[in-house]
Amino acid sequence: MVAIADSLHENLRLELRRGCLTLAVLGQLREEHYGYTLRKALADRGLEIEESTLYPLLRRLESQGLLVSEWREEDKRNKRFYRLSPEGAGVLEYLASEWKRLNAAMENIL
Amino acid sequence: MESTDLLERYLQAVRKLLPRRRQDDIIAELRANLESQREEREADLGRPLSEGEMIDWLKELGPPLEVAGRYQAPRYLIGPGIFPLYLKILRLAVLAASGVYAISILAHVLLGSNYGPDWVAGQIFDYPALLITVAAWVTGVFAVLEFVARNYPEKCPNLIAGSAHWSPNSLPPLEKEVPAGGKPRSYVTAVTELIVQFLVVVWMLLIPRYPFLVMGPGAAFLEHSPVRMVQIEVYWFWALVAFNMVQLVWQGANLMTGNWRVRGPVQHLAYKAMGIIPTLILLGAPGHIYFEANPGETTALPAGLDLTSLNHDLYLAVVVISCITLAQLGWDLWKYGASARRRAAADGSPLPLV
Repeated sequence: MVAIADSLHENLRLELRRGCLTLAVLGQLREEHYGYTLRKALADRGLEIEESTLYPLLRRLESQGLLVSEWREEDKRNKRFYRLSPEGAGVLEYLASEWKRLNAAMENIL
Repeated sequence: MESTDLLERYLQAVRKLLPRRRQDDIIAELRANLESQREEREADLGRPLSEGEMIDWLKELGPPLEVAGRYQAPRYLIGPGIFPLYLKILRLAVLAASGVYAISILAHVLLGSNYGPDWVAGQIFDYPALLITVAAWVTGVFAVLEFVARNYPEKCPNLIAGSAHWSPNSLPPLEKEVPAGGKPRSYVTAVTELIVQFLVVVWMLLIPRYPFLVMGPGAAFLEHSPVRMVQIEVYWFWALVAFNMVQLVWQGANLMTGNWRVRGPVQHLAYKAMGIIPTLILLGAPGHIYFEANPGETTALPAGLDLTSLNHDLYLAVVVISCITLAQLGWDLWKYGASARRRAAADGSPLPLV
């Protein structure tokens, strides 16, 4: 029974986080990062994301045109750097205002 | 075991589960990110990660199936979380069904008396329907699993229980050596090769009972020909059959164990060596005789046909073929030895055998 409750909690938590992660990644990529430093930057601000979630998410956002990427050598290693595309900046602005509205509403509810 | 080796094995396992056209790009990025992370961990520790620490870290990253699954495009029936597992099970199911089907056909042909070429051809035409049925069942089961996991997570916690028990120690070894010109085969190619090999074996097994399969209408003439083949050709034929059956079993084993992409040097050399055996059987023919007069036929030999010179010419041809195949085997052995020496000199690691 405990295992079932834990599983349900975990699924609900993941569901709650899913949309937030996209917004957080878009927000953080106003500065250029490659996968690892992006993950660190997000973790430093209190948002931990698993590698197996973050890296495919970057691919998906890029394929949607919200990010642009570039392979570049740094510290003698080729790395793929991501940053927000002009279209992604517009989406970030839209989502950020929605987030603030939701956040205010949730504060009132909770 | 070095931690670098373990990371490379992990990346190799993820690569195998990714869509082919995106493999290089995704793995290059994943490698860069993971190596950065590992370097930072090692910098914090002031020493390289131990094997145990590396294993713990890879466990945190998750099983290759899950990691690769996240990169898959959205699928409506089966989600990315279980899609790689679905692919794996589908391959195994298709392979198992094909194997059972093949054995069943062989058993009918070898043990029964009413199963001729028409029947075999019918079974072969039915084969695609079998594959579609198996694929439909596996897909259906996984679609139900996906539906249940998505809609009733509280009723089936840890549906994909394998994830919880995954260990990096179970990662397959690195496939370091790709034979020259040996572009890794896709699964479809490997299965096609297996099917073709199976058909070749069936065809060969049917030849003794239905000689027209190899000689066409000439089979009827040969029966009453003033010239007949000697016993050595029967041995030669069965050696060829045995060789093809060994290849069939080996290819099936490669598919079952996930080693279909690259043919290892041992397998390559074994095929070459086994391929020589039928030629050597012909080379050892008593008196170098391959054709003799058919005592049951009174028809005269065709004008100008001299059996002695015919056998002599055939013997010379067999000698030339034997020399060429032996030289090829020697050359391949030398190449393998040179490659092994280069590898040993470079990093001390042995050449992978299979």
